[in-house]
Amino acid sequence: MDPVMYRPRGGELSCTFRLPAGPSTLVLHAKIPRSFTRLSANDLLMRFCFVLPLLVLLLIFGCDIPRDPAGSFARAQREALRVGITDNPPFVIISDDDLHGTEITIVEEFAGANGMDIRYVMGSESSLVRQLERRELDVVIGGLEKTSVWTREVGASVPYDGRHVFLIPRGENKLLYHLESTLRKPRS
Amino acid sequence: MIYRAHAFELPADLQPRMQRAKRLEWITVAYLISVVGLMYLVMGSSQAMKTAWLEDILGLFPAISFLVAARHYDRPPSASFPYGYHRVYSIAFLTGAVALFAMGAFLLIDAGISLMRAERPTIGSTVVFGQQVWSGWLMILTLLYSALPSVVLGRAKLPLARELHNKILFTDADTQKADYRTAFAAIAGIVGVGMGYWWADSAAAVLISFSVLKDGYGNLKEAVQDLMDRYPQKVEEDRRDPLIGEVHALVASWPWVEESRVRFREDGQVYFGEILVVPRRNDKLLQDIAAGRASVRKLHWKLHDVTIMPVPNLEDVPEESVTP
Repeated sequence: MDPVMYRPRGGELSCTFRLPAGPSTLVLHAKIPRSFTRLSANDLLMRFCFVLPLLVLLLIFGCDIPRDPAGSFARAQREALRVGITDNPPFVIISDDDLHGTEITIVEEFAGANGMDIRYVMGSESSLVRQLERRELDVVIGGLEKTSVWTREVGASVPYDGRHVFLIPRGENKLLYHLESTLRKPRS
Repeated sequence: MIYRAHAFELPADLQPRMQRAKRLEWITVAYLISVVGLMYLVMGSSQAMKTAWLEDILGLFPAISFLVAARHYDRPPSASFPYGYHRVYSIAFLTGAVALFAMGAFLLIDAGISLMRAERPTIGSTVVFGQQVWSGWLMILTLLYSALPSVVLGRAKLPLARELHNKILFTDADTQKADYRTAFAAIAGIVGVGMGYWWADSAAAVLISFSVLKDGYGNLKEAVQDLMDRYPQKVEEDRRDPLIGEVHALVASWPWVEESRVRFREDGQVYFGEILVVPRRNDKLLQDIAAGRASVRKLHWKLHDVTIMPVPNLEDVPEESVTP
């Protein structure tokens, strides 16, 4: 994007930008008010301050944000996703030789989509949440509701059905982003 | 019989400025309500957002108190309020300052605790037009919306506050003009979280609450000093109003005055005061005093009420320790 011309016109500065937009070119005309040309250096600096964060935004938009704060997403991909489960039909059903339920299906879909193996850890809700706080687990499931007390102690996903959430360690924003993208997929 | 001050009316050229100030404050209130609502929707668990949000709620305070006070300040003095209602401004200003100071202290402690406990802000995602986006981006957009119009509004109100000698309007304009700093600090916090630095959020919150506390302290000091009847100050410039010196010079120039002392205090937008004079002659004293009062009031609209007291000498008046 480069300014093509920059010429004064009737007391105004006019600035034209040509943006390559597909096969054709998009031409932008920007009229700069006369008052702008009379600004002191300090004023210009102030105005630049407003543009600066926008530029920074544009620069980082392309980057990988939210990033993995402690490399835990990468670790889950390298080793395994540690999932805490607590028996709560029909979300998580733990029987002697089998593990199934609606949330088990979702968590397996998530792991599959992100190339992760799963290691399940069984326990009571409170002990699993403690392990989550110590970052010994990555996700805790078992029909937990968004209004439960745990959501104040650890991080929670969006409710995938308007009511039930997955718990994650606080601040695991990359994990959360990808988890929510799985949770939002329409399913019957 | 009760001696009531004159009914007050702004000079004709300032009345449209007052109307404009009121209109701008109504716009400010509407705009801030929209900001507060939007921020509440996208706030999530970010400490910096929460702090910026509370700061914006507090920003409503001066605007609303200005509008309330502006309805009352020029009511004619009554038997119960013989000095008039000018001080509603000082009261509104003090109340706002106390709120700002207290909230600043609370926010600083709150943010400090979350920093010490290493609380990691969990920021999830939102669906916008069918596209999943990280909620941090929405927070940043909202923060930009909370910053840019503020600066424009603040800059528009500043000259009005100076002309009207209105402190509450000045404080409001001045804080609003600087509001973009808060928003940028919060944006830095959110971007920091996005980049994986959990402490950026709390650190930004500490910074913002520190600035709220600083503003609160400054306003509190100013409000208390005004209520303590200190020497009238110029709005913004933080120095004594040279107008009082002009009054003294005017009084000293009267041929019938041997010596004089002048004292004024601020009552909202206007000044009330006393002048002690040692007259040179006694023959037309009453006429001289009446003419003197009229000419002092004519000097400037801010000199609203003045008492001229003739005294035989100034022996019992302590030596002037300050020169205006």
